[in-house]
Amino acid sequence: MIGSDAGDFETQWDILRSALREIHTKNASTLSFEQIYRASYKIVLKKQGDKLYDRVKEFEEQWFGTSVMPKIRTLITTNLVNNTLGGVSGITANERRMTGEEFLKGLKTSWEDHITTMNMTTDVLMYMDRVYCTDNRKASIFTTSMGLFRDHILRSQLTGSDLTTFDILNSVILDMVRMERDGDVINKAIVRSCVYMLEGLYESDEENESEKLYITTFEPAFLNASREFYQKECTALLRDSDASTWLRQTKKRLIEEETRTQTTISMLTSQKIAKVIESEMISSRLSEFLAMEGSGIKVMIENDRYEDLTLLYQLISRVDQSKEPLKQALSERVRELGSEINKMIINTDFSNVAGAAEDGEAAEGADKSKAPRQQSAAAKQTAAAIRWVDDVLTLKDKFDSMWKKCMNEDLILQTALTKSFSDFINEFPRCSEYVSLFIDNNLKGGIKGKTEAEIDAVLDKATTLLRYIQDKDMFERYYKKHLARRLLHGKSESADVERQMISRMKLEIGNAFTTKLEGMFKDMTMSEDLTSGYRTHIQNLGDLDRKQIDLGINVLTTNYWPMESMGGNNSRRDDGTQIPCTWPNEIHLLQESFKAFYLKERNGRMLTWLGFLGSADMRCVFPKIPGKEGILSRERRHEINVPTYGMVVLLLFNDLAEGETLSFEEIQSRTNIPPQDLARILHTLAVNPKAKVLTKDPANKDLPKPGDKFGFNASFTSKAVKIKAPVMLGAVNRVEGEEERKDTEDRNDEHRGNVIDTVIVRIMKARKTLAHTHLFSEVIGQLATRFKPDVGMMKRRVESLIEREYLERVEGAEVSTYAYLA
Amino acid sequence: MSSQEADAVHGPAQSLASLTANLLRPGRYSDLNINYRGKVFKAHRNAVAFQSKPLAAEIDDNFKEAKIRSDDLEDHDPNIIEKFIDFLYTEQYDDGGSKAAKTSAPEASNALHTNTALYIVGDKFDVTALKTLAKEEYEKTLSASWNCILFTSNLKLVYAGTAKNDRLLMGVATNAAANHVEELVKNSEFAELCQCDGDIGFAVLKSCHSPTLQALVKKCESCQQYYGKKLHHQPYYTCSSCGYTY
Repeated sequence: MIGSDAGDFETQWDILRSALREIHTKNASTLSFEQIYRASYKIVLKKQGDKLYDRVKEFEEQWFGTSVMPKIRTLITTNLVNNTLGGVSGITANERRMTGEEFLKGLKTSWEDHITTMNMTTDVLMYMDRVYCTDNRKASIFTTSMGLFRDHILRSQLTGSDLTTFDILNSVILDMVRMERDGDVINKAIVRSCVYMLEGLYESDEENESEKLYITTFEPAFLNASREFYQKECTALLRDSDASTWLRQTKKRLIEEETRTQTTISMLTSQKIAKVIESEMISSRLSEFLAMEGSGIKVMIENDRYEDLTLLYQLISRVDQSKEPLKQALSERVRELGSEINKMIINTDFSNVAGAAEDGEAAEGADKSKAPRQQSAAAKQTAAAIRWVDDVLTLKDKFDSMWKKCMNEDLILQTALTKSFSDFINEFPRCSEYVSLFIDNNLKGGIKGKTEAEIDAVLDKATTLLRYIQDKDMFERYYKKHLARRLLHGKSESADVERQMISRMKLEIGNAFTTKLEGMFKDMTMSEDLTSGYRTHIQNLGDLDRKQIDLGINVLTTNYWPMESMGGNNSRRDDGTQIPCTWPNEIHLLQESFKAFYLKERNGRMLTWLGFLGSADMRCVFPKIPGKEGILSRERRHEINVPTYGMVVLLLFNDLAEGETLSFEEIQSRTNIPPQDLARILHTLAVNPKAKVLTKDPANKDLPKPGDKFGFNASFTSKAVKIKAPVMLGAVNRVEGEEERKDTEDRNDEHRGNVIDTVIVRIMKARKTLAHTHLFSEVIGQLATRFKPDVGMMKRRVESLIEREYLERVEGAEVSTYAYLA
Repeated sequence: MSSQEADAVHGPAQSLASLTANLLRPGRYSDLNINYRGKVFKAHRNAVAFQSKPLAAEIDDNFKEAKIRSDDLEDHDPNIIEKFIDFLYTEQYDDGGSKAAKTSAPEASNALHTNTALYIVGDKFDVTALKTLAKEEYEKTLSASWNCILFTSNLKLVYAGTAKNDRLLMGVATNAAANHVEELVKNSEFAELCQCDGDIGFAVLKSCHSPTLQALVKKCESCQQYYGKKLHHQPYYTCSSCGYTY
C-alpha cells in the first residue's frame, strides 16, 4: 500500500510539475484547473502534503536559480556595482540613471511575474494550503514563495563580491532620489513599483508588519542618506545664503519629501523623513540662522518680514512645541525695543525741559515769567508722557499683528509677549501715571469727533496697558486724581465714555478698585440735583434781601475723592483736619443758607467748604479815569472768572477806599488762606497781565510774598468782557514734578503699609500661627492683583504689628514663626 | 423534485434558497457547464464561485476552464454532483433517506453514503456550509439507524475521503464506533478494517478512551439513545434523537 501511494504520488506530482512549469511560462490557459486541483487534492488526502509542499518549494528555488536570477544578473552592470561600492562610476548621471532604470525595470518585471505565477499556483494548491499548511502550522505556499523570492533574488550574492541584489537595489533607488533632489527628472513609477515589492516582502514568514523589508532594510538606508544630504545642504545654506533662503529651502524640502513619500517611495516613511529634515535642517543650526546678521530674527521683526516670520513659526513649531527659541527671540526684542522707548522718554524729558526754557528765553526775553515757562515745560513733559504710551501701544500693535498674521495666535508666544511687555513697562517707574495721563488726555478731548468704534479701540488700548501694570494701586491713585480734575473742572468729554472706561477697569481689576471712582460719579450727579434743587428753593423763598449769588455746588464724599492730590494739602493741619478759610460775610450767609437746605434732608452730615476748589464769576466795575484818553476814559465792566480763593481776596477790596492798599500779611490774616495758595492767587490777580485787577508793590514779576502791598488796579483794561483768570496750577492734569512725585509715592507707600497691615492681620486671624516665609508668600499672593509688596516694607509692618501687640514671635520655633494675639 | 420537497433536508436561508432554486431548474441564463461523462449540468458562475474558493479560482484564473466555461468533475458520482449543485443553489440537498425509510437498511445505507460523499465534495471544494450540513445529516442518520455492517463500510469511506486532521466527520464516526464498540469488535469486517488500516483502529480506540466522551456522550434517560450534542453556549444538553433536554 505504501508503495502504491508513493507511485501514486509521483504520478500526481508529474501532472503538477508540468502544470507549474506551464504556469511559470505563462501558458496556463491550456491547463485544466480541475485536473491540477484534483492532483494536489489527492496527494494531500493521501497524507503526503509535506512531500508536495517541499517539492513545490524545490521547484520554485530551481526556477529562481535557472530562469529569474540570470536575467537580473545581466542587468547589474559593473557601473552599478561600483556605484554601490561608493566608488566613482565614471559615467554621467544620465547614463547612471538609464542603467539604474533598466535594472529596476527588470526587477519589477520578475517581481510582477512572480506574483502572478504564485497567485495561480496558490489557487491550484488551495487544498494543500487549507488542509496541510493550516494543520501543520506551515506558512502558506504563497508566503513561502515570497520568502524564496527574498532569499533567492534579493539576497542572492553577486558573483565575485559581497554585494547582494538588494544592495544594488538600495543604491540605485537612493541614487535616483539624489538625482531628483538635485533637480533631475526621474522615473518615479518604476521606483515606486520596486518599493511596493519591498513593502510586500518580510524578514520572516510570520510576515510581521514591522518586519517589512522596506522598513528593515530600505528605510534605514534612505534615512541615513537623507540625513547626510540635508546636513550638507544645511551647512551650505549657512555658509552661502541668508536666513530667508534657508526658511524657504527648508519648507520646499519638506514639501518635496512629503510628495516623494506619496509618489516615489512609501507613505510609511512620511513622518520619519520629515523628522530628518526637522532635525538636520531646522534644529541643528536654528540658533545660528536666527542670529544671522541682516536676515536673522532681529531683522525679520524690525522690517515686518511677515512671510519669513510665518515660515519661521511653522518650522519651529515642528521641532519644538514650546517654541523656546522663538519665544526667547521675541521676548528679547520686545524688551530691547521697550527699553529704547523708556530710554528715549527719560532723555527727552531733560532735553526738552532745558530746550524749552532756552527757547522761551531766546524768543521772549527776560520778561517772560517763570510760571508760564514752567508750564510749557510741564506741558511738553505731559506730551512726552502721552507719546511714551503711544510708542508702547505702537510696539504692542506691531507685535500683535505679527502674532496674528504669522504665529497662528499661538498661546505660548502670547504669554511670553505679555510677560516681556509687562516687564519693560513696569521697569519704567512712571508707567501708572503715564497710562492714567494717556486715558485722561483721551477722555478730555482726544476722543472728540471719533466714532464709537474708534473710541472703543482707544479704550481697548488703555485697558491692555492697564493689564500690564503691576502697581495697580499707584494707577488707581493717579486715575482718581486725574478723574477728580476732569469732573470738577468739567473737562470730561463724555460721561458715557468715562463710565465705559470704569466698567472696563472693573472687569480688568475688580470691584474694589472702581467703587470709589463710581462714588465720584455719584457725587457729581447728586451735586447737579442739589444745585438745581437749591436754586428752586431760593426762588420759592424769594424774599431775602441780599445780593443774589448764584450757587453751583459740588458735594464731595470725603472718602471717594483724593483731597490731597486736588490741591488741599496746604490747607491741612498736621493732624489732617481742614484749616477753614475765613469767608466774606455774603458768602458765609450763602453757605449757611445752603447748609440749612442740605441738612433738611440729610441730618447729621458735616459740610466742609473747600476754598481751594471751585471758582466764581465776579462782575467788576472799573471807573473811568479822568484825564485819560481812549478806553480808560470810559467805565469798563468785566466779568472775571476767578478761583474761589481769588473771590475771597477780591471781595476784601470792595470795602477799600481809593488808593488804599492791603499788605500780604493783612490779606492772609483776614482770609486765613494758606500762604502758598495765597501767593499763587495773588500772582494770578496782581502779576499775570491777563486778569491784573490788583496792583502789587513792588511792581515786579516775582511771586507775591509777605511784605508786598496790593491795591485795586483801577486802570485795568482788557479787550474781552469775560475774562478767565489763568490758573497757575491745579486745573490741568500733567506730569508730576519730582517733589510731587515723591509725595505721591510716599502717600502710596503709606497706604500700602496699611493695606499690608490689614492683609497680615486677616491672614493671621485665620491661621493663628504661621511661619515667616508662608506668611510672606501668602501676603504677596493676596496682593498680586493690586501691587507687588516690598519685602522690606512687609518686614517693617510685621515689626510694627508686634509692637502694637497684634502679633508675637513664637519662642523657640525652628523657623521664624508668628502667632496671632486675639 | 417538487414531490420530494417535504423530505428535503433544509439548511438556513430558505427564502434565498427558493429564489436560487428557481435559477437552477431550467438552466436559464446559465454560463457554466459542469460536465460529467457527457452529462451536462447547467450552472451559473456567480452562484458557484461565491461559495467555493477553488471553483472561483478555476473560473477566475487563466486556465482552460475560464475560456470554455465548463468544468469536468470526473471523479464523482453524477448523483452526488447533482446534489452538490443543488446545495450550491438551495443550501439543502436530499440524502435519499425519507423519515419513514431511514430505519430500513438499504435506504439508510444510501443516506449514510450520500452524506459522506457530500461531505467529501464539500471538503474538496471548500464549502464549509455543506460540510457542516452533511456532518449533521450523517449524525442524524447514524443515530436513527445503527447498522453494524453498513457503518463499517462507511467508516472506510470516511477515512479514505477526509484529510488527516479533518476530525469533523471522522469524529462523529469514531464516536459512534466507540459507543457501539462491543458490537463492532464481534464484527469480522470491522476487525478486518482495523487490521488493514491501523489508523482507523487507533482512532476508534482513542474515541473509546477519550475523556470527553464520558462527558459528551451520554445515554438519554428518556429514549435510551446516546446523545452527544451540547447546544451552543448553553450549559444543558439536548438529546439529538428525542429532543429531551437536561
